[in-house]
Amino acid sequence: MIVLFMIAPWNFAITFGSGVRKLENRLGCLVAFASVAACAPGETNRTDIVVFAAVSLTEVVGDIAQIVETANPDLRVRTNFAGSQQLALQIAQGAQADVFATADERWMDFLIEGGFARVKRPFAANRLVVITRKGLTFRDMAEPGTSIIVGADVVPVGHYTRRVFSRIAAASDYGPDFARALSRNVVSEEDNVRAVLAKVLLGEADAGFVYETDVQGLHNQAYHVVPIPAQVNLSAQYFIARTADANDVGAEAFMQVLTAPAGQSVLRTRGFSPI
Amino acid sequence: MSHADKNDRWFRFGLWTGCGLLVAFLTLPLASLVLSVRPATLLAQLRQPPVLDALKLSLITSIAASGIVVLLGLPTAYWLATRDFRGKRFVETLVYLPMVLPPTVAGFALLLAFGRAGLTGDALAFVGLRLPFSTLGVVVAQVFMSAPFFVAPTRAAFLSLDPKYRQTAATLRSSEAYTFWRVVLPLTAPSIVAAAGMCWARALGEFGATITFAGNMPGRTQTMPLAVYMALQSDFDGAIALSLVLVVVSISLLLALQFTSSGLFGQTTTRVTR
Repeated sequence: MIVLFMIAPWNFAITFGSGVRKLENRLGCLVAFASVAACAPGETNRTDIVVFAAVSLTEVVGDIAQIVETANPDLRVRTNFAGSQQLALQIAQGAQADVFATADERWMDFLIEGGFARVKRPFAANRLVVITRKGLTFRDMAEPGTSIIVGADVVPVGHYTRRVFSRIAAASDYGPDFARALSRNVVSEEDNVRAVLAKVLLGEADAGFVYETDVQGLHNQAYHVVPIPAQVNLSAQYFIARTADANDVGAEAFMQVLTAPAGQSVLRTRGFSPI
Repeated sequence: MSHADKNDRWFRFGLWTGCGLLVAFLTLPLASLVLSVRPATLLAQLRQPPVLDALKLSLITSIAASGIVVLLGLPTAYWLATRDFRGKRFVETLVYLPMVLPPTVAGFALLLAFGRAGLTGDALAFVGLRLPFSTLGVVVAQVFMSAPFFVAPTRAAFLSLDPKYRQTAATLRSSEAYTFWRVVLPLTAPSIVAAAGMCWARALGEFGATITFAGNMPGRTQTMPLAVYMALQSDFDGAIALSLVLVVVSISLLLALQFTSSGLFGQTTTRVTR
């Protein structure tokens, strides 16, 4: 290999006429050789673990990834965050992933039934809250003129939101009129929960239905978090699984950390409830 | 064979290969789309309310947007074609910017300008206008992104008009307005129609700025491209049906424009003398 590297620049110089006697050509060969040698792989080969995770897990996965990489220097975690529905469809269309973490069971089951993922495990729970302009209460959400942003029904948070609306319709304190008024106030359906949050915080809408964990530690002059009454709220279940063609060592390493005390503590710090 | 003939053969070979590769690359996705359709489900899909809503909304907003662009773009193109002034290059760059600006960036900028919390938010609210999440907001996003597609070719059409027509009109003491309406416009009409067609096509296909600025609400702001995007995340058959409709509309538009007197891109072949 090295001999080839050394010969090549010399051939180059000879072909182009002036031969290797000229000083410029010899220096040129040296530079060429050095740059080629520098490109040779110097790092040790690291195995990638590709994690596709719901966007509400951004910080959690980041923390877990650090723990995994510190404990296993030969592993490197690569992440892809989007709405769970987008990730599930990407995997079904052939995207390479080792671990898949969803914010609801629908999309996990979709992949398992299609044979793209194996053995799902619940690992965390979350709740919905409303982020709204300061001064608005939960009852104000049904006032005409209040603009609400939710996730589309295909998105876990959007589906949970619609289930909350159904529970509001069935609750004696609120009733179907309240739920209908809420639906009328919806002005946009986003494709992931962080897009909902972003649009609301930009000041364009009065309120948005997001996860409790997304607004944890929010310090905003104009917006505050309003809890959803316990009798109509529900628990969002997060699931994790390895994909059918996962790198087992990497996937297992990641999932072990997540379910170990270290991982559970990360989840609790970020506002999730452990399972 | 002579040296020249051999070079020509290689040249033609290169032309064919390059052209063939590009055409094949451009045709394959369209062919795949057509081949993935299941005729039985296609008609059923096209009758679904969300699909019909999206189609109606797309047509109304894109035609409205094109109308606005033509109204405002004609004076702009004429101004840029006939006047020279300090800072002209800067103005030109501004007018053509949406052509190269990533649509999502444009949508975000529109929010910062015309959003409720934006620069003109209060002024708009005073007049009773609330642009984000409204159908009018969709039109605004489409106007922003498609304007350069009208102004650029229209200006080129004005520039390519033989100056002798305007000079002759001037010697006959016609005012600039009269010259514009009676001489310039009729002569450049085919090119302007083609430019309006391009603008409409761009408005019809507008996605990034729309979803960021106007949001995504079936019936109100969910145009066809947005409906396809959402359908891709849940219902493939619906996505295929919607995509096909968009493709058919776009192809029909381009074909129709190709058969106008000047075609879409003017002359299509140059005579090459050997």
